[in-house]
Amino acid sequence: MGKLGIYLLADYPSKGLFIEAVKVCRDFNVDFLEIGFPFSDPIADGDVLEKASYETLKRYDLDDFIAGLKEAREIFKGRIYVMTYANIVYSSGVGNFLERVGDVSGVIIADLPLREVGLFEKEFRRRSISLIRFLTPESRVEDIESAIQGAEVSGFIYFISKRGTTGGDFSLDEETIEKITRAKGRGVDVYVGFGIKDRKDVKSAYKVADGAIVGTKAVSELELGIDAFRDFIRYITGAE
Amino acid sequence: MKGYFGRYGGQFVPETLIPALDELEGAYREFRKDKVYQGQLKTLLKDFAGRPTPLYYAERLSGYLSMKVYLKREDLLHTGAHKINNTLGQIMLARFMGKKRIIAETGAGQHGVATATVCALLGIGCVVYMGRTDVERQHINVERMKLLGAEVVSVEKGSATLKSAVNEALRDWVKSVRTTHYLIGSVVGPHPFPTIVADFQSVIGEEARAQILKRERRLPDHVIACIGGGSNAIGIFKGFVKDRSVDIRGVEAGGTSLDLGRHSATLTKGRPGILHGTLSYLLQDGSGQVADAHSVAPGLDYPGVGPEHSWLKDRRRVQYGVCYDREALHAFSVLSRLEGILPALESAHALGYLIEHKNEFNGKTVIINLSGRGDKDMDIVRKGGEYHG
Ligand SMILES: Cc1ncc(COP(=O)(O)O)c(C=O)c1O
Repeated sequence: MGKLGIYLLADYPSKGLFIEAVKVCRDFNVDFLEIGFPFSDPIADGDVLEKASYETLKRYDLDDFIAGLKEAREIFKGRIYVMTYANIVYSSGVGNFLERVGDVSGVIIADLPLREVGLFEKEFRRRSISLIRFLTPESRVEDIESAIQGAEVSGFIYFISKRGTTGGDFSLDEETIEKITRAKGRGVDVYVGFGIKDRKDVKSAYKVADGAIVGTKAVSELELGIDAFRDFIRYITGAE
Repeated sequence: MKGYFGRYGGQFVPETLIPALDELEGAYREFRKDKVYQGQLKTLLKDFAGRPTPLYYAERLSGYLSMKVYLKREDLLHTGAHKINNTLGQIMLARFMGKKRIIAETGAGQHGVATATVCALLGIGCVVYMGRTDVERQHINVERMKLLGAEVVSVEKGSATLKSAVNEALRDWVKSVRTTHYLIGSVVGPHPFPTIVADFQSVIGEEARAQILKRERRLPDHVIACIGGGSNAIGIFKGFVKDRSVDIRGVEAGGTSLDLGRHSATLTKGRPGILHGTLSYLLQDGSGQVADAHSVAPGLDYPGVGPEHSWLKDRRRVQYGVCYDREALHAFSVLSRLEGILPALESAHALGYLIEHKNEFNGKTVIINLSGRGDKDMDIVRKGGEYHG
């Protein structure tokens, strides 16, 4: 069976609800968490996560997100990845940023393509923290090879399911399935994300990849309250 | 390093866009060698846009300031600003690549109008993203774009200015990358855009250098241009950057003060950061959130700057200074009264800087890049710049 990852935006919809959501993910044995650190210009995000980012930034800053992450770390014993944008990491200084986030499995930087990892990678290697590589429906054979070669410092390959931003609908075309298949089974897990929102989507991701990441849909459910979120996590973790 | 100016530049975009940027770079290399397309572009620049533009000796202004001031008259181009140099170049490149749809961002609306114009010229569909704040303060340009057949999308999100418009254009491009060319309006964004746009704007500097040599039989002492993203400036600087004797100045918008959020003086007050695909100086807070920019000139209202300018600054080849809103508004009226030319508020920043520092330039020969005309700014000027008061 595949691995399931849930994305939560740090301190959203509130600090309290964020922590409650982390507990729910623990209770239902979610395999890993992605914790988003909001950025002022989130170009890879669709409407839901963009709006959530702006709202969070009105109330909290990086110190709060890091404190939220630390608290989550105490609760959730599985892998945790931080997901953010290049300037948040670069601005603090890569080494300093990694020191501050502490015990995480990796960092996912939405606007850091394979060819630009050089500026960041050294500090990641030094601390054995993964710098996640992306592949997309647009990736060429040489991109796939380069992502696999980076596997040593990449805990998994994040395969973006579609040409587009987070949220919206999920579907994998033939060509994309072929690309995922090419990347899979080469020593590094391939997880599919963007647009996954129900059991059917998770199943079709598991069929071709090693795992699935649910982001926008999880955040939307949490906006409705912790009960709705719990129901959703119970439902989605039941997918086989 | 590929696509870098020293440590600045790069391609910090979602992985999905990388193949498109490679395609663009490859196509641009071929486009430059293509005699037919280059010939067509040259003809369009001449017959459609109105190149070459004059280098005008501003006699009364020169007398007033006790120096020799020449104005490079980009304001006389079709659509009223230097932006058309780039949009004509990129629309021919898009046609060369077989792209069926154009997207663009705009702040002042000048780039949007210039894009809508060339799309009408070639019959290509066009969507222009514009922040709501700019839609309100530059509504005449919105009407112009619509008349030209463009769809104008008002961006309500974030700061609702140029920065948000670029975000939205990038989101569109990630979705539409196979069919669409992103016609970016300045020397910003991921490689190869800063290089391509600089190439298309370098005609300004080439002409200006030849014109001043013909007229004065010597190079100017100073060349001054305003900096939003930095395209009109790079365009004229390219003509003189190898001439070590020529002092070059870039003028950023000081807004109402140099407190974060009140200005657009990226090179003066920012520090290196990553926005919209490029590593360059950036206005940001202590933890890397991008700050809102402000300027009375909508086209300067951007918290980033082209990476080549960051490199020119660090190498000290160009000096970057500021002009405040009120100095630009003053310069606007000075040029109107003394020369009968209404400058764009953006260009008025270069002039305002000159007026403010006139003692330094006493007796010297100076070229100002008059990047655009000021008709679009009548509302702002009439209200005394209160949009940002
Ligand atoms: C007349 C004029 N000048 C200057 C600018 C600033 O852009 P850039 O710095 O790329 O020349 C603009 C932008 O809209 C403009 O309309």
